[in-house]
Amino acid sequence: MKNKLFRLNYIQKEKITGYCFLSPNLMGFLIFSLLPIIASIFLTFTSWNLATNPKFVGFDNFSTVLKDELFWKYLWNTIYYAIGTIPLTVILAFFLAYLLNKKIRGVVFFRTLYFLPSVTLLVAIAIVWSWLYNADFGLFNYFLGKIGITGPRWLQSKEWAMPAIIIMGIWKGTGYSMLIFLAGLQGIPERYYEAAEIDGANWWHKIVHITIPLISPTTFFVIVTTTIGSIQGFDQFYIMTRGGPSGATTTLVYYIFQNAFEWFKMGYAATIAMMLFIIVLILTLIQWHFSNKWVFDEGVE
Amino acid sequence: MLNKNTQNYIANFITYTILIISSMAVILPFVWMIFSSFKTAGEIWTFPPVFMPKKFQWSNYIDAWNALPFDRFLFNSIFVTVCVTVGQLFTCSFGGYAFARLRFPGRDKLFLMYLATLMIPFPVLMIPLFIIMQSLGWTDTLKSLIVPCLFSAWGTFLMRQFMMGIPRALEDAAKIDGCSYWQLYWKIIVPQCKPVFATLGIFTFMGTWNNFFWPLIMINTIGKKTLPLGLVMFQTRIAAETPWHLIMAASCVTVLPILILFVIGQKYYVKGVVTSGLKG
Amino acid sequence: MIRREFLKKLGQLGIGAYGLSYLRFCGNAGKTVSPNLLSFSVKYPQTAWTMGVVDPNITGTFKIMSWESAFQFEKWNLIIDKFFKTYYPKIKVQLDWGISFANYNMKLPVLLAGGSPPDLVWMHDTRVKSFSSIDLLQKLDPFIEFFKPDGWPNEYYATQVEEFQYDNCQYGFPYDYATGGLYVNLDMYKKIDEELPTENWTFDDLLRVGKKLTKGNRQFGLNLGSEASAEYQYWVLRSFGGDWFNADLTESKFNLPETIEAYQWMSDLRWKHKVAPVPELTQGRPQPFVDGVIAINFDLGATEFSDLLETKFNWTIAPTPRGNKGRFQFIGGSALSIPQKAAHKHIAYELIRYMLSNPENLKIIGKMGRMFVSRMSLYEYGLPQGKSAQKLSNYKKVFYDLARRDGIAVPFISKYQEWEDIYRRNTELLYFGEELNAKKVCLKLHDATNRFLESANSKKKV
Repeated sequence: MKNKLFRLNYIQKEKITGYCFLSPNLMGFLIFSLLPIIASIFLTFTSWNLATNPKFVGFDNFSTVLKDELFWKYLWNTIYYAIGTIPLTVILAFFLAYLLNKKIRGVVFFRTLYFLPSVTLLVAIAIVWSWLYNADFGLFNYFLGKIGITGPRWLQSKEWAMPAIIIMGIWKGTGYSMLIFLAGLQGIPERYYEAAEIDGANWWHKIVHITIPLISPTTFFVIVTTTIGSIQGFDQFYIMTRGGPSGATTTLVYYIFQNAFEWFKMGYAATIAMMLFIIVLILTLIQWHFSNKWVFDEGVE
Repeated sequence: MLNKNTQNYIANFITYTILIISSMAVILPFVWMIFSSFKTAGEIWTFPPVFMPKKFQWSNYIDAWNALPFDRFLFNSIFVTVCVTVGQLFTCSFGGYAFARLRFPGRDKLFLMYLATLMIPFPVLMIPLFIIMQSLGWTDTLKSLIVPCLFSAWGTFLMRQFMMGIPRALEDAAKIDGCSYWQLYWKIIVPQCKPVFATLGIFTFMGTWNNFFWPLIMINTIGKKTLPLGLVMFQTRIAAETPWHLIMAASCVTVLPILILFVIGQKYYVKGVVTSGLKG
Repeated sequence: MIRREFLKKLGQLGIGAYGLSYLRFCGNAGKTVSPNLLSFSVKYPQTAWTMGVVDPNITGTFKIMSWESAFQFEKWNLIIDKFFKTYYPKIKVQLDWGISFANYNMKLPVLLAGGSPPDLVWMHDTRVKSFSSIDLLQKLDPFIEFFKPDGWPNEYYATQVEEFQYDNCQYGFPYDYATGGLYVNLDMYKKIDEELPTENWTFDDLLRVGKKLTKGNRQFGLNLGSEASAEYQYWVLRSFGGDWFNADLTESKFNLPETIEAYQWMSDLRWKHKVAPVPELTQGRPQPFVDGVIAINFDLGATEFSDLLETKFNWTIAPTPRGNKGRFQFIGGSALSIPQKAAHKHIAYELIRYMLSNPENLKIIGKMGRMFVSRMSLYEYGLPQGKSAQKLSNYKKVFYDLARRDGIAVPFISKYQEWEDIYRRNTELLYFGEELNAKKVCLKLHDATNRFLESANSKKKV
């Protein structure tokens, strides 16, 4: 009798195991992620200058943000940076991972080289980059000069400061994504390729029909995280240009930082963060929706 | 049609050419940074810029090390980073496994919530999180750098995505043999996931090692600072007075542990054991 | 027990903003302490440097936060250590220094918002009003009144004392000041057969000489007014007769022809006459001058003498020029402040007074620092010593005498940071050469400033 009571059916067992496996992670998640987030959601409805108690202001912050010219300008900058970095980073990273997944000599050496930029601390490397972008003596303009183009004053120009930071962002970010793709490529069982070879597939067929579909969960991960990462980028703008010239490289996260810690408008900062959150969420949901069509889930098979 | 060996030969040749040329472009700024760490303070900013130092100032490394208690910073950094990395490998792989393989009510909604937390910019969470830490009495402790970082939505997401890619056939076979979920995780999933464990390990290590803003807020005494906080201790209010040569030297050293770990981690970039077993 | 309390607190936090506001005060039990509630009852023996209000055997932690870097904090450390060993031996001192200026300015608001801030903080003149206007700092006046510091305020730079006031109350006790002068490369200068600049030179005199000293993009004659920060440009436009705001800080003065003229002059220096170096070279560092690329360079006193002493050329310093509307010299500096919610305010004030009005300690700070201390009579300890002293016979005149005579306070409004963002977004175009017409920039900035001041002031009334 007793035994019967505690004997769970397969589905119940799976449910309980699921929660057990998740629980250590979930606990931390609730306390250290969700709680601060709930607090900051409440802040969006307040005006708080860090000194007095937060004052409830209803939807005032939201109506201000919609009328805030700077918000829209910086939103555009944020999108510009994201569009500039994401596709190139993902394609380059996949390409490199594909090359470095081959059994060739010195593969670890090359992987290390491509990973190096991701490792370096921005404080130190920013000095080097500012020299590379120097209008008169920088390497970029030197090479442009060789092919007969007068290079721009990169970091001091309204038009070129953002592309300059995008180039740096791709340089710094590709190593990350490459590593993730590499791990994904390792997970593809060799037997699939062997089977395809027997059927007479060439390398292109193998990429299109085996590698890309099987690596799609990884690709989904890379796209979502680089999207989030590039939209939340802060250090590169703070250190390289301080958001200038004339706000050309100020992104929304930079604007949030200014509002919160320089101007003591915590409620407004939280509101901008919420707007940004909604935008990223929509983008991710779109990616999620489409991913159901193109992400190949081995598990569902 | 070319025979297979010639084809391989050509493919390798092209691969190497691309790799060598592009890697040179990629590491140039890094090499510049290493050279800069051997320059004098003035040479770093000298106009027009110079690539190589006139004379290699090895003393930069010694001066930087002696100027501040870097042995202490190093110990703190290693302690915090190792704790966080090991902890995350456990919590994230558990969580990832649950999300990828087990069916329970609310799973997808919870997962979306995990994803959603990734999208909130950190600056607005900093003050609430600081207040939580303060009410726990954890300010100015290494605990405050470890515990909140043991759980990562990003890592869980990564694990989930990889585990989704593992063929289910193996587990089904094991299930029929009467394996528990724990055994499935430990005997089938983990061995298959070596590359992703290595990836998450490297990323978490790197992220924690270089983490700056959170320790900046939490730590108030010199003896509890980590390496990135130690680096900025050279920076002065007037930028010109900052000894950049020491910062360069110290940053070059800071990079080393990550690189070593990266190279070690490469060992685990091999096909899952079980899969390759199936081949034969 | 502890866990239950913890869960309770978490629950309160979960409620959101209200929970948040509760927790902020839980460390301090109660609402903000208003200044007149500060107790000044003397219960213990007074000494020269303690008021006798606090028990000398008090225990606890005294927290200090500073932006001073690895090589600069030593002097403070010496004095702080001595103070506590002598007067409060049982107090544990927590020193948080070496955070770097930018990071310091981010960390401080977080700690203040958290409700248990340090007891003593470093404060910059650009920031003090934004903190004090929302009551995050303690008024020092009740303390000063009760336990007067030696020589206060007459012996301190008036401009400095003024910079750290808000609403006629003192919120910071200044410890040093910086002022600007011209660094002149004598080897280059020799070749042009001209007198050295004096305080009676005009901006046009300097430009004339600067043109002679310029050689393509390898040698630049004159670098002045090209600093990215607004406060380093203010003295230039005042010399031209312009200003940022009207006297009661309610209206913009960017439409004044004099203001526009000053900005045009600074812009032309770089983009029309090509006398000043490109912006990449002048972002807050004296290196181009040290490398012999700039002939006349505006910079703060005492910046990087150690580097300059190793240069292969001869150099000296000269005063900044005068404008049509008189001569004005840049003054800036830092102070020490006490947060409103500090736990040990009395001790904090005693320590400030001990460090900044005690001549013995000020001598140490002056000698080991690179600038003059704010107490004027002790200027000699801020003079360059050793090798540099011989080279710089006119150091005292440029950085002390003239600063005393012509120094002006920059009008830091209470929301200076926010306004400076508007300022920078507009004027950056001029400095980076994206726009060459100063009038266009100034008029746009004029409208933006007026809009900003209007909304800032209307909120204050409500």
